[in-house]
Amino acid sequence: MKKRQWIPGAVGLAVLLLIITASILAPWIAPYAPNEINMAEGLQGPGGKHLLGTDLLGRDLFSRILYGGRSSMLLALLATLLSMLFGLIVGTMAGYFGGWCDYMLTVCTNIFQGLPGTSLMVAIAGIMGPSFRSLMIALVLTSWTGFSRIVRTEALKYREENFVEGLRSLGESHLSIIWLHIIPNMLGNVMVLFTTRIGRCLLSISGLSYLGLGIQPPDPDWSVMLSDAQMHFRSAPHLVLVPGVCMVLLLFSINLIGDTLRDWLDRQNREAGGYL
Amino acid sequence: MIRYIIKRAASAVPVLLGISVIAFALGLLTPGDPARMALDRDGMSEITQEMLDAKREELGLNDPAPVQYGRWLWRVMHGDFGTSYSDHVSVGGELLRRLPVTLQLTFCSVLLVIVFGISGGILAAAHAGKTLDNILKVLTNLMLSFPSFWMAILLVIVFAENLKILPTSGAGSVRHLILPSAALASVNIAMTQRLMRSSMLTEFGKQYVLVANAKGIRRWQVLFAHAFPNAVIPVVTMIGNYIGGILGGSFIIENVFSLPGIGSYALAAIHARDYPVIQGYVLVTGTTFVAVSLLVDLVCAGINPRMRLGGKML
Repeated sequence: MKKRQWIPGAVGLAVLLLIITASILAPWIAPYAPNEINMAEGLQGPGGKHLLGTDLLGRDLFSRILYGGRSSMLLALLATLLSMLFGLIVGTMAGYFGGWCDYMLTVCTNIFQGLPGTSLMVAIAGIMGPSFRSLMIALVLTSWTGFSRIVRTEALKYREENFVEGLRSLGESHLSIIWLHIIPNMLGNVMVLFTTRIGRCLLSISGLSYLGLGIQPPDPDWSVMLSDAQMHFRSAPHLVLVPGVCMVLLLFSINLIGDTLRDWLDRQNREAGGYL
Repeated sequence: MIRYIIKRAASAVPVLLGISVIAFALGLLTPGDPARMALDRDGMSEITQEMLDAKREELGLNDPAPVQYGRWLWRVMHGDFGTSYSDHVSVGGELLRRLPVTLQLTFCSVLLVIVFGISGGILAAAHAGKTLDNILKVLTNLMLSFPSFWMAILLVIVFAENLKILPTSGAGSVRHLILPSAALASVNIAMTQRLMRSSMLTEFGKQYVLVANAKGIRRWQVLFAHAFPNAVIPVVTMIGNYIGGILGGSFIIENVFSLPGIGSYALAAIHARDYPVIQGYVLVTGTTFVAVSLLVDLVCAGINPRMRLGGKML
């Protein structure tokens, strides 16, 4: 790949790292506590004592922005990791062992894939009430099928390869073949899907949080801040714009990284195909 | 074809059953006693143990769960979704009254997705590697980065607050639907556009396009008469899949624009812990989604005979 083609990915990575570092270091960088209420200084514009101004209750916007990405990023990361793990297990079992096991698992995957994601999330938020745990369950239930599909196709491909048969005849166990040979081979595809899924996860979380079904106040969250400030758009546009821009930057950087990874992988596959 | 139809329809049955089990479990797992909820609505303050027992017997709450599920499914299939806890109105009737709003919104969004997604994809593919392609690439990437509600808010600020050409909220006319459906469609337009682009590029690489070009057929004719019909098939299938997402996404958009659809009904129900309504919402959206994807698959199989033979269907 030419150097030029790595630029979007590098930019994305830089922005993403900046956002992550700022969120991790929030307790040290933030000039005020994120939930410190100061009614006397409500709805101030940017500049002066408060870098980005204050919200209706006089809370410092800059501090809240620093804290505001934490919960959703952590949640998206955990939920996507868990979906990936789940998808890897189910996908390799279905693809590698095939037959009856494959049939059952594929029917299962089809059912879950047929379920409309948002309805399922609404249902779960409805039963368990909005909380970290119910969001997590909803996200994993709706996104593991994507992983298991890809993994299954890949595992199916490698199952027929000569080297797997060779390893079997040398007495290698199924588990170590899967762990040492099959999973490393499909890592590229899974990584691409991982970046896409984490972006979609963040979108779902932000939508639910905006409606009051996701991250709960008083935890500062960009979407919640946006929905709280919406009414005061005319008097304090910064309250709406700053969290929104942060959200877009985060998602945009993830998308850039995903795109670059996909391009790179496509090229690799094409080159690998060239030798056959 | 008939065999394919039967096979495909049969594969929808377990999904529908799965949806109904989830919706039923919703009622079963919820905290609170349905008998007490049902009695409370009469506005009587004193609820005696005998009344509770009688109501439980009447509602069949003492039966084992599978029996309750069967009975509930039977009722639902006859259009009886129960009554709402909060306003005691029939859930089925209310859903039916609100469904057209949601369907109109979904329809408009899908229309936007088809028009802009496909044309944008063709445009990008025709200019692959050039400036226009790169601009469209950045644009789709941005569209994928905007949560729908944030897109909606920005659209309202620009088109309703500043330019004052479109209404901010409410329902009634096509004008009311423009902003909500644009906000709802934007992520899917971007995804469709990308898919259409790569699908077109795949077709460009095939030999029949090479032959058509070699024969000296005009470029736009090769594009539209030769490559396009082949390239659009996988895109149609994907748009079918997106409809589920759009239908679900209307849950958010209806609330931003205060449209009286089933999504805003469901959100109010979640806050009020009004379970029959949530059950009804899950069932209706789930069933619609399954029906739409079934329909799209059948249409695609009609256009493209290869799909009927494909061993991919279980």
